[in-house]
Amino acid sequence: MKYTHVTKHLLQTIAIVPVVPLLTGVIYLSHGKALTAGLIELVLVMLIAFQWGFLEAVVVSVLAVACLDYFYMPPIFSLYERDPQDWISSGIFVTIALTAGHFADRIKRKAIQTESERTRLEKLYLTSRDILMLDRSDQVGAQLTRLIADTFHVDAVALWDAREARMDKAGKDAIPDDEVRATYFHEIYENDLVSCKFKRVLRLGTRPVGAIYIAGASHEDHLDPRSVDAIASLSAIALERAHSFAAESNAEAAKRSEQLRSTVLDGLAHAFKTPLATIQSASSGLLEINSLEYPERELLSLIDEQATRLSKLTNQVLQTAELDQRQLEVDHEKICLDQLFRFFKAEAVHTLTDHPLRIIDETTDSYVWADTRLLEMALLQFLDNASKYANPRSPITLRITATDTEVVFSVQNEGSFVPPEERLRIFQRFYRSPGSQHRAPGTGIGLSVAKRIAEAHTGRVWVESDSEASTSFFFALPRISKDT
Amino acid sequence: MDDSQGRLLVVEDDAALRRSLRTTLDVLGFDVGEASNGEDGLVRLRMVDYEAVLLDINMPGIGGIETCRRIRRVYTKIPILMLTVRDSEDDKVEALEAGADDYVTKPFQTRELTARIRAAIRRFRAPETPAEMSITNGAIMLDPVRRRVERAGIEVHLTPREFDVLQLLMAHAGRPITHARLVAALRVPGFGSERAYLRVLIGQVRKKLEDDAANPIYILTDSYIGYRFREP
Repeated sequence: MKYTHVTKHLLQTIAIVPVVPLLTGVIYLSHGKALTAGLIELVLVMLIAFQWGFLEAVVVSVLAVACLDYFYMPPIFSLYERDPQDWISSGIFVTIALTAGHFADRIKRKAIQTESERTRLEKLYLTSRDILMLDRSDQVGAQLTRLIADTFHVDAVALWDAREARMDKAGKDAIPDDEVRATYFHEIYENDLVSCKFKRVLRLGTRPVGAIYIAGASHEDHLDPRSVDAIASLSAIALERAHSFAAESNAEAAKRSEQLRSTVLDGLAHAFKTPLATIQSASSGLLEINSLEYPERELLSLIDEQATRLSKLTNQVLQTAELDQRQLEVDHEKICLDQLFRFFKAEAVHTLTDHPLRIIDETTDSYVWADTRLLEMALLQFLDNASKYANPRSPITLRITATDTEVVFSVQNEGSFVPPEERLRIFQRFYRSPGSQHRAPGTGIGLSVAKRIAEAHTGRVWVESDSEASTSFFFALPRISKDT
Repeated sequence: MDDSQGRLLVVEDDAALRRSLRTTLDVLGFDVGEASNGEDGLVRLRMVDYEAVLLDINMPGIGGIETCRRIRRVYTKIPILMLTVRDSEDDKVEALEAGADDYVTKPFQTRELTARIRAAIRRFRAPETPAEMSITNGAIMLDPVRRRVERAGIEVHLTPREFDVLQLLMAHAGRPITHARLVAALRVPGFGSERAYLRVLIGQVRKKLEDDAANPIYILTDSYIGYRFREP
């Protein structure tokens, strides 16, 4: 980058060399006094210093002294000086010329610097304004690189978005992907001023989020390490903004789609309820009249069973829809565990069909505080879930344990491994694990209801599962003081 | 009257369900009258001497509960069975307090429905038993005058409150008695958690009367509603 600079200075110096003797010669020939010549030379030195720089000014001032000496100081037409006073005045001339030149040069440099500072700020300002106006529905990375390349007139820009693992490039030169990624992975901060390449890892706070690589600015005064720093932090913010916007709109979309599904499902369930009740009434009525022989009776039983099943599902949907709509009101009461067990034993017949239920109580006090109905609903949901996914005819265990802070109900069944990535998701509404869709009946609602009930009690739900043995669903309630 | 299982009025707004009920109950030997809403039902009751009413709880117009209340105002004895939907315990309790005798939850099995209707009509036809007559149900015998209870001929000692609860339940065997009504019969003013007390009390009675208190056969629980003594 400096070569052109040096050449420029050399050319300027060479150009000025003949000018000074010529000028002095002309003044001498037109009978100009020494003082006039001296002052004119001084002005020339200052102008050159101001216009071209200090080095040229030095050359000119030395030359000027030599010429003044040659034309004006006795012996004339020789560079030799006899009078010590001439030595002194030459010295003074050089000093003044150099000092003036130096200041002129300083002022000029300052002006240039201020100007470039201003341009830089302006560009950064433009960049940040344009970043705010990026089209968020389009890829932000691509827009960002284009923007930087255009605004700063650089040859190439590459941006690596670590979260999306996405590389965007702009500009006419190619940048190897590996170098950009390496910038991120090794958290490189590098300024190569000679080849004009800048590498920055992008950070938000202390967390690296990507990397930027800017190469070969053809107008060097437009880019310096500080500008690159600013570009890097603006880019990091732009990426983050894009991410949070995307996350927000995803969440919004998910919420909307869930709402839509709920509405459709609830509507259907409502519409199904009455006809189903009629079908069941008719089929069970026909069975009760008892005038049918074997094949008809068999088929009719089938209709009756399936209508019952369908109406159970419908009811489940409606029940949970209702739970979802209203704020769950928890009516805490003291529940006797024995009573609860009785309930589950009675219900187990309907819910667990093929699976024996074991109940293990490991608590010392035989009470829990909760909303009876909600607690029963949540645990029945667990039991129902267990019976659907357990190995055929394997036992299901309902266990109650107490810690210092919680009462924990767990429902354990054999089989049905839940992979770690699904353990949170299965409590989401409508989520059904990919394998289960064709295996077990269900709407993907039940567990979300259990979760809601737990949360309404300021409790929690979770699942533990190992691929070898068993799966346990947990329902924990905060332990409320046992007296009262 | 004797060749029929009983004269029954079905008040139901859903025409298809009404048709299905009518056909089935007709074949099963009931004399079935139909009404599509509460107002119509009240009119039909005045015209025909029905022995039981099957009343849907959710109907346009005055609705099932109000219809029940109005029927009860005129006909003190006629059994009223409410057709309710699942998870509407509050409605059920309200209906029972409005004078309904029992409820059947939709969707229902016809076998269960007809059993309830038959039992209701049987109770309706049975001659009025004087309050001081002793009641026998299975192995349990309760003598209201001497305040004595026997199980399989052996006297069982009950506290006065246990006796009161048992008497109320046995006097209405087969019908659900709401928590509120049981608590009122106990006369325990300002107790605070009457429900819990009632639960304990029922538990004690069960221990004394049932073979297995965890799986009772006499005193049955109607979840969230109350208790009922088994059908005699």
